[in-house]
Order: sequence, then C-alpha cells, then structure tokens
Amino acid sequence: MKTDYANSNCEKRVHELLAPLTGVCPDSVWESVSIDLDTKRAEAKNKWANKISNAPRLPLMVAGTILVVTISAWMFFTHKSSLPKNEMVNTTPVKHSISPAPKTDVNVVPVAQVTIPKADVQPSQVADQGSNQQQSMVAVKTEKHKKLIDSLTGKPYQPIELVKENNSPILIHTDNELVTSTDEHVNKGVAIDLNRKDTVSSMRSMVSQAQSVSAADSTQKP
Amino acid sequence: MNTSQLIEGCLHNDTTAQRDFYANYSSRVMGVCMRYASGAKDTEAMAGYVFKKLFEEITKCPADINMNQWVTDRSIWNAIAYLHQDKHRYFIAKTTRYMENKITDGEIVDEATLNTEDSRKIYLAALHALTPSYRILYNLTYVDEMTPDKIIENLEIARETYKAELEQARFQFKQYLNTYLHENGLRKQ
Repeated sequence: MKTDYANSNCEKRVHELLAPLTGVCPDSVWESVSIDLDTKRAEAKNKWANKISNAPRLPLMVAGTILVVTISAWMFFTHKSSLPKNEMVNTTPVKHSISPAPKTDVNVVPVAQVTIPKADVQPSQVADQGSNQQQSMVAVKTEKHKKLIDSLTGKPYQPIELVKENNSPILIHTDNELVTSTDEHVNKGVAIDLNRKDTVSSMRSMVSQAQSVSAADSTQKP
Repeated sequence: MNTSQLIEGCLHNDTTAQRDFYANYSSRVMGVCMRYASGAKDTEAMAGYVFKKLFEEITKCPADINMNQWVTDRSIWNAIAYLHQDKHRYFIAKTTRYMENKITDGEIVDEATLNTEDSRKIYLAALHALTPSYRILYNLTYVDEMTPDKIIENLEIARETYKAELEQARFQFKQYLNTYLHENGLRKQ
C-alpha cells in the first residue's frame, strides 16, 4: 500500500506522534544551567557591595557634608527662635491682684473683707505684648454661687469680684445688700489702674483706710 | 517537594529546589526542544536556554496554576525566542516546489508496517528539515494546537503572512515526509 502523504491529511497523525514527545536531558544541560544559576546567586549577594564600592566617593562626601551643615543650621535657628517664646509663656508673672489685708492690732472686725475665695488664676494667652501688659492681662474667676458667712456677725456676704476688660482699670465693688456697713466709701466701687507701678501699695492703703473707717463706725454705733 | 515548595525554593535561589525543578520538568522541556530545534546539538543548547529563562520567569508564576501546563507553555515561547536570536538561520527562505521534488522512482514505504517509534523518528526528521520559521508555525498550529489568533498575537505577524507561511510549511513537511519514507523504504528493500 502506497501512501502519498503530500495528498493526505497527516496533521492529525503528527499531533498524535509528536505532542506527547519527551526526551532525556543530558547532564551537560544541567551543568550549564547550574553555572548560570550560581553566577546569578553570587551577583545577587554582591549586588549591594558592588554598588557601594563602585559609587563615586567625592560627590557622596560633598552631599553628606551639605546635609550635615543644613541639618545643624536648621536645628540651631529653630532652637534659638523657640526659646524666648517658651520662656515668656512659662515665666509669665502671676500676681494676685489684691494682697491679703494687713492685720490690725486694734480689736476691730473688718466689715468688707477684700478676699477672693478659691480664685483660679490663669495666665493670658497674649503673653508677648510687653511686660506691663502681661501683668495687666490676668483673668480672675470668682465663684459667684458660693456665699461666705462672716464669722462675727453670722451674716452671709459675697466676695469681691474683679473684672478686667482690655486695658481698663480693675473695678472692685461689693454687693450693697450683703455688706452690713453703711459707709459710702465701701459701697461705692473703687477704680484701680493695674498698669501703674504703685497699684498694690495703693490698694493696700485704700483697704486699710476703709477698714479703719468701718471700725470707727462700729465703735460709735453702740 | 510539592509544586508550591518548588516555586518557593526557586524564588529564594535554593539549589535543592532548583535541582528538583530541573529533574521534574526536564523531560517535558526536552520534548518541546526536540520539536522546535533543528538537531540533537541544537536541542541541548535550546534546552539550556529555556531552563535559564524558566528560572527567571518562575518569580511571575502564579501559585495556583497547573505547573505542567505553565512549563510547557513557557518552554514553547522561550524555544521560539531562542530561534529568533539566530537571525541568520531564521530568515533562510526555502522556495521548494512539490512538483520539482516529487519522488518518481522507488517505492514509498507503508507507514502501517512501521512501529510507533520509527514513525515518530521519521516525522521528527521531516520536522527538523523545515526552516525555523516554518517549523515554528507548523508546531504551533498542528502539534501544540494553538489558535491562529494567539499565534498571530505572539509572533506579531499579519494574518495573511501566517496563512501563506503555514501553507508553505505544510507543503514542505509533506515533501520531506515522502522523502524520508522513501529513503526508509529503499533501506528496507
């Protein structure tokens, strides 16, 4: 039987015979492959070492020097500029607006005691506007709901409230109903300019004056 | 060592895993290279090239893929890449005509009288006789049974070129097959 393959469809036979074709790989193939793999493994190990050793040193040194100088300069200037702010904020002088009244040797009960019960003193946020203004920018909170009782008379009275707005002088006033004294000097408010240097001394003198007047009234009444 | 362990070991350049990968898939790769190469010596060089490429590409291999299919597919395209490297041989044009080379004298041996191994040798010899470009098209179309669209896309050729070259490849393959069968018949006589 003659078979002329040029005129027949032999592609199916080709697929049957050659598709499952396998062969034995000679050792020479693995040798060449393993040499190539070893070379690549060694290259991978020496990759970073070669990069560092082959890198140009002069530009690296220059770049490193510039970097160090830049960082040190930045640290110096930022540290210097931040110091005064911290100092000003932390060292803001907190002064009591009213010093405690001086004790008198005379056995006289003061009618209007100028005290601030449990006053929370907070430093102002605007602390960098000069030392005089810093001293005047002290906010005073008073607890209005608490009523104090005079130990001698047994009558309740409200503490003196300090109100400070902007740069205007602090106004010290007392509640007319709660204070037993009938003296006009005490009932009326007294304006004090905190920007003045002699504010504390003037307040002390005024308080002592008021106490002496009230003491005189109390001795005359009985 | 299972497939995922093989892939993991090859990713970390583990020598044992690479050796096992070679041992598992060398026969499959060799079968592909025998079809696409032009001879025994060329087959060894091609297999070495294909394995080097496989160890590079295994990093991109998905974990859940059929490894046999992946190795076969990548071996085919790397074998074609190997043939494309040798431009001098790849672009040899053969314009043989069937009528010019038709065997007129002698008997063509009956294939039914041959065993499978002999038939395979004759078919393989006819395939090796093709030019590289024809061998690629014939293998991809009839042996690996890839779709024409995939072949055209991967080889980056025009559809008309594909059709024309495939027809030429078929013609030449049958011609060489007749020749080898005739020679075999002569030897038998």
